[in-house]
Amino acid sequence: MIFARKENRLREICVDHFSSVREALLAFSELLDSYLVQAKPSPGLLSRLHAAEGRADERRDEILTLLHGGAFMPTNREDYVVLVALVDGIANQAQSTGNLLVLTLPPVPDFLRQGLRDLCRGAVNIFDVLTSVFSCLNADISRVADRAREVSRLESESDRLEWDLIREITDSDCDRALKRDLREIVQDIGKLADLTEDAASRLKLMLIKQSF
Amino acid sequence: MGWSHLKIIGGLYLGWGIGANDSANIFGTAVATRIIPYRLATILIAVFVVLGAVLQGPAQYLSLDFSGEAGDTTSTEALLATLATALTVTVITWLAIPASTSQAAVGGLMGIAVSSAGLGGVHWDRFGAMVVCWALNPVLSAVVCYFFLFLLGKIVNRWIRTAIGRDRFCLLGLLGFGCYGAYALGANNVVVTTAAYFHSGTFGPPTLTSARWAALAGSLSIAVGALTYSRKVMTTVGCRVTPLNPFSALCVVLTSGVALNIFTLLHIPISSSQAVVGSLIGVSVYDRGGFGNLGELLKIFSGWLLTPFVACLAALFLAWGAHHLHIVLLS
Repeated sequence: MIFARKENRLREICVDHFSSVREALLAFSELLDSYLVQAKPSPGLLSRLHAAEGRADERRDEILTLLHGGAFMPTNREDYVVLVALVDGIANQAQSTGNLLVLTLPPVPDFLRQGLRDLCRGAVNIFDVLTSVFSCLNADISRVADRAREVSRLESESDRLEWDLIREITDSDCDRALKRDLREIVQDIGKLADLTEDAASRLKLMLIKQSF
Repeated sequence: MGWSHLKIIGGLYLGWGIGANDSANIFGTAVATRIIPYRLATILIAVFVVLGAVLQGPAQYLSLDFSGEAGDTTSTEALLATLATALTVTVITWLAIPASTSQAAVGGLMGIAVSSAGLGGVHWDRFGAMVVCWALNPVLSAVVCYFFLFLLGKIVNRWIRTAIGRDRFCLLGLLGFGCYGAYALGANNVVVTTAAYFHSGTFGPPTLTSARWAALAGSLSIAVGALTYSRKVMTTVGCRVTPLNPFSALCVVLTSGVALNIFTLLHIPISSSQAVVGSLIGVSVYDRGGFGNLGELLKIFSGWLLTPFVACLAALFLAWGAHHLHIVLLS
């Protein structure tokens, strides 16, 4: 109780969880790159994506077990439960989008390729900033607000790019079914940034509750 | 042990009631929000109440006597004083008005003093000083709590810069300050449980040594009350209190401990409940710039004013009844 063993252990597992989610995002980004180049999905990268998402789920379960075992005061446990669920949702979204890509195999027009890459790499970049927000929570809590603002700024940029891509798809000559599939892919990738911002908002809330 | 020694049961019952009710003022919020387990809380209360009572409580016994001469209270009068207190607290609580056991006990002692020494033989100056301190208690607590919220807030925000650190600070603070609050409760309130019996000679001649025995007996009854019957009040009061975050809760507990300690040094028993309500006003002013529910506050204050006078009248009535019915309780 005094030396915060459970809490420090939970922090370590949260860092592992963040790493696993990042691994899932990277695997998805590489899967998308490889699909855009070769017009077919790489089975190895898909397996890597699923494995990373599975590891994230395991870390999530460990975190919940530790919280149930008494880590942190009850008033603060809910914040960690929600945060872990939000972060885990990012890995789930990456896996879900990867599955959609592999199952629908949409022919991606040239005008869309770079935009999709930028959107996906942007999601990885935003997640890296989220990871630094979480680090600040346990290093220098006063910096959480600034870093969370950076996440919001990057998410706004991602939203603008997503909107531009959807407009290009809508204005293109592709048939309606393909437009629908492509819009879905773009929106699903854009959702990665949205979920990351939700997690950053939760960290900001934790900062507010811990400021006296 | 004669029948006169057995009359101490009245004081022990009073102490049990203090333990059962006032435990909520120390660990109520922490137990209700499951920050601290109930059993751990009651054990800590029991240990530190006895420590506080035995170490700092005895000094108050010699001064808590309103009649003309020290030692001229009989054990029967002591029993009547505690009965009057118990009756008053029961009735006022039944009317859903907050009651202070310690103030009721002082009112009971006053009634017995008036009954035995007459109006002219009573130390009204001592009683007057107590009434002033009772009025000062919530005001002082509000100011001190506001100060603690400000100062501790600055210290925590500046020096504890991790979420884990702040979580531990609040948990250990609630535990540590709760122990201090229990110590202060024992030191301040034990006197009202067995003071009348001390002055009646139940523990021997009125010296510091016999005061320590009286304090031990009273504190053990408070400890038993906390261990056996505090759960319901702890969880009820803890949940009904204005929603507090762990930080403001620990400031409230610290403030009530400090208030109890200050008035112990002045040899004046005060109500821990009043100290807590005063602290909550301090929290309300600090967080929201207002005093909270004024209607509820007026109800609380009226209960506090009413309690000692009702207890005094009840003790007078019981003493008059015992005298006129010639009830001799083998004194």
